[in-house]
Parts: sequence; C-alpha cells; structure tokens
Amino acid sequence: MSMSVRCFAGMAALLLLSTAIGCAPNDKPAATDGALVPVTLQLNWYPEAEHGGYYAAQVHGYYRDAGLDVTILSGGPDTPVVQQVARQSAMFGVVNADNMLFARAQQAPVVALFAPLQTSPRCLIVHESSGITSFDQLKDMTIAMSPSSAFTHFLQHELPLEGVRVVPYSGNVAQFLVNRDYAQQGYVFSEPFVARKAGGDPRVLLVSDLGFNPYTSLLFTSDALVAEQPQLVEKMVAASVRGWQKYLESSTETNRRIHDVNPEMDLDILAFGAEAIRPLVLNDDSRRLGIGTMSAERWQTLAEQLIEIGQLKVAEAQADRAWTSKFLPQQPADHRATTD
Amino acid sequence: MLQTQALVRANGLNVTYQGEVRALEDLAFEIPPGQFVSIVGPSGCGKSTLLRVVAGLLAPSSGGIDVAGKAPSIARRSANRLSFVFQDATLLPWRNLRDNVGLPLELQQTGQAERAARIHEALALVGLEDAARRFPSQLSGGMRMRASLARALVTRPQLLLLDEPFGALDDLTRHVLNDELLRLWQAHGWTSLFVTHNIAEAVYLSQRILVLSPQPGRIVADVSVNLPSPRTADVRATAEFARITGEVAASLRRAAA
Amino acid sequence: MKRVTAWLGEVAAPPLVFFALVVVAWQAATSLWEIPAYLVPSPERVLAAAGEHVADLARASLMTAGGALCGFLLSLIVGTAAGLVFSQSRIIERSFYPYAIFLQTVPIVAIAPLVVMWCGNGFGGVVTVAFILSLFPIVTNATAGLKRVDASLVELFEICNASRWQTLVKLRLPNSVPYLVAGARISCGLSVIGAIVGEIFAGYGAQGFGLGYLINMNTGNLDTAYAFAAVIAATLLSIAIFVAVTSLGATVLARWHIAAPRNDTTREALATSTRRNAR
Repeated sequence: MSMSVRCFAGMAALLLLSTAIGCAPNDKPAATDGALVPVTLQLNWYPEAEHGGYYAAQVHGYYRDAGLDVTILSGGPDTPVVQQVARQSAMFGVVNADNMLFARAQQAPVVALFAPLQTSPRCLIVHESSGITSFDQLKDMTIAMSPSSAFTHFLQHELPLEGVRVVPYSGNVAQFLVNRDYAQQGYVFSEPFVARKAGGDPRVLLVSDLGFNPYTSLLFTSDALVAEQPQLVEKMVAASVRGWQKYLESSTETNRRIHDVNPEMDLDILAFGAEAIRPLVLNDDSRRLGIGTMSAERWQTLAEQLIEIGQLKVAEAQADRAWTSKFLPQQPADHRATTD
Repeated sequence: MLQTQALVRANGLNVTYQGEVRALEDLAFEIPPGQFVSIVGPSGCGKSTLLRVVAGLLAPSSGGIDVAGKAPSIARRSANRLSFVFQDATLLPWRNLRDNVGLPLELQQTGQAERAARIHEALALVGLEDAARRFPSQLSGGMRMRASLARALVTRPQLLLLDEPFGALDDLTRHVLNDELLRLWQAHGWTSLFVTHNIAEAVYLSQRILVLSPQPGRIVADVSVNLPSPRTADVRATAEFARITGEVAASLRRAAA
Repeated sequence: MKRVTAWLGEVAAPPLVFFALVVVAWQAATSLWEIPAYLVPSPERVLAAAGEHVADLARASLMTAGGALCGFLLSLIVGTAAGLVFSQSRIIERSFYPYAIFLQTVPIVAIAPLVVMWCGNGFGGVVTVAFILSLFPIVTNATAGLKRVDASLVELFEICNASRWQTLVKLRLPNSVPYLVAGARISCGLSVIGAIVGEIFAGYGAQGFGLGYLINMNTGNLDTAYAFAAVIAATLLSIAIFVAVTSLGATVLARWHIAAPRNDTTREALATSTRRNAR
C-alpha cells in the first residue's frame, strides 16, 4: 500500500474508533437489598431556584427514604442533558418541554415524567422608564435573547418587533443596566431581582401571557430505564414530588444547600425565587391533579407552536411519546388543605 | 582625470571587532587615482573588512582612512565618488534590470530623462541592453553579475570597490567577465580596489597587488604588476605573468607560516 | 487542457478521494452501529438538511464571509502598520510585542463577550472579533519581512546614501511581500473562525444572520444535521477564502518575481508567463 493510501486508511480507522468509543453505552446500577441505589440527576443550568424541589428532596432525605442515593450534577450553558440521559450516562435529567420535543424529533429515546413548573418563568425584562407594558409595544430597541432558545423564535414569529435589533444574550444584566433602549430575556424569579438589586428598574413581561408556555424544569429519563426499572423511576418521581411540596412550604435549608453548590446565587435571590416560584408551580391543574401533572393538550399545543415557528418538523414530531403520566402519584397540591 | 593627490589613503588603520577580534592591524597605503589595485589574502584575513572601511560602511577602531581627503562616509555623499560591487549580484528580485541598474540614480533623485539615458549607457557598457525588461530570476549568474557592474557604473564613479565579484561563477564566465572589467577600466579609468583570493585573476587585472596576512590582516607585500597595457588573454601565457604570480604566492606562504 | 487534467490529478484528486472515503466510513458507522441522529447525524441526513435549508445557508455564508473579510482586511492594514513601527523602533517593538502575543494566546471565547460589551453587537462586534483573531500572524510576518533583509542589500542602500524612508519604502516593504502573503494565508482562515465566534456573541440583529447563528440555533433545538451542515458550510467558506488568498498571493509574487525557481521547469514556466504578460 502506498503512503497516502495507508494514511487515508489510518485516518478513517481513527474516525470510526473515536465514534465507537463515544457511543458506547454506560452500565446501569442495579438495586441491591438494603443498600441505597446510586442515582444521577443532571441539571440543565447552574443550581437555582428552579431546581429547588430536587435539592429539597436531597436535603430533607426524601430520596434516601425512597432508597435512592441521588447525586445532583450541576449544569451550565450548553450542557448536553438530553444526550447524556439518552445515552444513559446520567439516569435522570432536568430540561424544559420544548427540549423534550426536539429530542424526540431526533429520535432520542427520552420521556418526561413530572413537570413541577406548570407556568414557564420565561420573561422579557424591560425598563420601567421605557413605559412598555405589553409585548406589542416592543419597538425601536435592542432585545437580547438567545437564538438557541425556542421562545426567541416564537417571539420573533408572533410579534411585529418593528425596528427591533435582536442580539445574543450575554448571560448577565450588565448591558441592561447601562442601556435604556434595551430588553433582555430572563426567568421571572431571577434576573429581575438581580437587576433591581444593582439599582436598575426592571419590569417583567411574561412570555406565557402570549400563550407560549412549555412545562419547565421537567424531570425526565430514558425509555430504557422506564422499561427496565419502573419501580426505581416511580420512587424517584414520588420523592421529587415530596421535595417540591417541601420547597414551597419551607425553602430556607434547601436554599442554603443551593448556595453552597452555587455560591454565585446569593441567599436573598434564592429566597425571592422560592416565593416567586409558588404561583408557577401551583395552578389550577396542579392544585386539582397534583404537583407536576401534565396534559396531552398542553404538549400538543406546544408541538404545534414549534412547528409553526419552523423549529420542529411535522413529520418528526412525537409529542405523545415525549411524556408519560403513569409515574405521577395522585396527591393534593396544597397538602395543608383537606382532600377535596 | 589624473590628480596628483592619492584618492585613497590609509594610515595606521586598525579594525577590532567587539574589543577582541583584531581583523586588521596597522594598515598603511596610498592609492593614486586611476590605479587598479587588487587585495589578495587567505580567507578571514580581513580583505572584505578593509573594503567596507574604505566604503564607509565600517568605522576603524583607530587610525586614519580617507577618500579624496575626506572621511569615507562623507566622501560618499558626493554623487559620483564611489560604487561597490558585492560578492553576489544583490539585485532587487522584484525589479527588472532597468530599474535595478537605475537604483543609485533613483536614490539620488536624478531626473527621469537623465536617468533613462545613463541606464541605457550602463547597460550598453556590459552588453545587457536587450535584457533590460527581464527580471533577475530569469538571468544566469554571469548576466546578473554584469547587471551588478552596470549598476555600479551608472553613477560614473571615481572609485570602484569590488568584493570578490566573480567568486561564485564558473571559470569560463569568470574569464569573460575579467576581460569585460579590464576593457571597461581601460576605457574609463576609475580607481579600483578589487578583493579576490584568486592570484591569477589579481595579476591579470591589476597594476598593483596588496597581499594581506592571515588574521589579523597586515600588509605583507606590495607587488607592482608591470605587464603591458592594454592586456589581452595571451598575457597569461607569458613568463612575467608566471613570475609575478609566483612572487605573490610566495608572499602568501611566508605570511601563513 | 493537459494542464487542467494534470492539476486535477495531482492537486484536487487526493483530498477529494480522502473526503469521499471519510463520508463513506461515516455513513457506514452511523448505519452499522445505529448511532442516533441526535448524537451524530449520517451524511445522508446532513445532505438532506443542507438541501432543505440551502437558501438560508447561502445567505448566512455571505454574511459570515463579509464579517470575516472585513476583519481580515483590517488585520492586514493594522498588522502591516504595526510591523512598520516595530521594524523601525526596538523600544516600541519590545514594549508592544508581548501584547500581540497575548492576543494570540488568550482564548477567543473568553474575550469575545468583553469585545461585545465594548464594541457593541452587530457587524462591528463581529468584525472586531475576527480582526483580533487574524492580527497576530500579520504582525509577526510583517515585522519579520521588514527586518529580515539581505545584509548586502542594506549595505547597497547605505552606500547609495539612501535615507531611512527610502530604505523602508524601496527595500524593506517590497522585501516583506512574501512574508505578508504567508501571514495572510494563515490569517484568512482565522478570520472565518473569528467571525463565527463573533456572531455567536455579537449577532447581526436586524441585518441578518450568519453561520454562527445557525450553528447556535440548531444546537439549541437539537437539529444536529442542520448544525453539521452549517459547520460544513463554514469549512467550505474557509477553504474558498484560503484558495482565493493563496492564488492572489501567488499572482502578486509572480508579478514581483520574488519566488526563486526551484527547478528548471518552474523557471521555464515563469519565463514563459513573463513573456506572455510582458507588453
């Protein structure tokens, strides 16, 4: 074989080898009597209030009571949560509903189990001094929102946005504070507080008010785990539900843990977040059917919206396979109230 | 053209590099105008250094050197005082022959018309008129050296300094160029300082040969070459030629001992 | 005609054959091991995505090309100017050179957000990031080209009593052209990377979108095939710019007859082309 042919063959082999190594599935831990089952939960961002219930379940021992030794893995920008859970290198993950639909459209075998945040905290933050009180008033300004998020494309599709310059989000409120004709994305319980604390005048426009309302901070896992260890999945969901109930009720201890793992998050922001998150977790559906409940209608609506804005293809959408309610325990949302 | 005063004069000339390496030691000589002088010596004897001192490129560590009564770097300012021919043709690769030969005039900001005339004249002198638009990379080594000569002559210099100009060429070309140089000198009569390590070449071309010793370079012999003028190639076959060559060779051997 | 076939056989064929082999291996790997689409899309899917979005990919490529070329041209101008200053003053060179090295070694992803903060979003931000990434090779090459002149040539100019300015313009600058061409070939590729990174952080806003935007968007919605297609478009753009810069450089060098012929055939070819080009 000539030098160049050997070279090609070597390169091709290397390519195949690295692909193979990259795609090898990981072993799943098996349950042994008595001992706690090790479980990994991968977050989709740095630990924040939107993950409160999961940390609460860890801090208050609900996972341990269920026989699970849960390790919560911090995320960050661009953490490939879906890919990791699909490959089973993490057992459970946290994403939002739009991510789930994208995943299923690419035939990733993952399924959502439980949706603590019924209302999306996604919002646009404008200056109070700008006088803007609704979305259709957004014009002749700069809006910072990430092109890798679905809501960005939704807003660009739905709103006229005359004279609006959409730029990528820098990840902090610095530009918002110095620029008057500026709006940016955020979560309702996070960035507005940070901005106000820094002396700004933020006003919140909730994206869910426009009808774009994906379930947020969903717990999800792989199809394989559901098929092979359904009891494990059930226990995980049940303990997480307890965690969220606890977080709504008393968040101080949990917030201290979140602050420990993410020192960037001050305790006062977390306290504010825990309060602001209550109305997002408790809506009519969850009060009636339990925290984390999901409905086919909402999944279908979301899928249709994503298709309409061109982010999802009709042929590939698998909305019905993206979620299951069979692990949701029936429990009254507000456990202080008597059963109805 | 003849002047009674020496054109180049050296007195107690010393050149030391970095306070340690003594390149030239205690040189003293006088070169009358119009004389063709060769400087021969073994490698490293400082002949190129000497040439550079005369050109004003290098300052002596001590002692005196003057060209036409002035320090070389000042003497050089006079437009037609001196020219230098380097060991390699040193032509600018991005210019054609015309523009290369015209470089010294361009740097002096000579007018266009005069420059064109002089370039043509210089090219004709070396027989390169047809190659005016060619680029150095398209020329042979011999042609490039001729172009370098033409450039040196375009300013009509009084003093021509040549640093082993034909060393890189093959024997045949070297002989041809020797004759050309001789012919040009005989026609124009500039003073010449010609560095070479080739004794036969030195004898053929010059009226006088200064022999330098190995480092530190000192003048160990000042040989007069009384061969007939104008010289032709057959002078190489004469007995006198052989005698002078032998004398120079002997001086070199003695100095090396 | 014969020259075209020769060129095809010697220059174009080997990388194309290698590319074809890689694509075949890639397709085989994704099918044989049933690698899921969200991890590694098969070449088939990538091609399908490219076909479906060809208009957007073309538009985005043009925008990225614009940002890259502006950054590249700016780096040529500023880099050559910096080289001029560095070659003339040792003190300035020693003072500023370390910062040029800093620009080279600092990870662009770290300084891009800072650049956007200072230079704003939009075309300006993108060009600035592309500029920062492409600058260093030009500065080093320009400085080297201006300083590394044959000693005899410098002596020649000295003997002709040339002024500092004359030596700079008539000797050093032309001498630096092959170095600049070498630097330009390195920088043009870097400018594309810079433009894409710049787009991810700065964005073009209302003016449109570039390949960085497409890669970013499709990483978010897990359309890996489309993201791959955008990456391939970026690679093709890089290659196109590199080829353009290389041929332009070769033309400039041939015109200036700086490249020493390596063998007789090249010398002959050079002589032939000069005869053709001479008026």
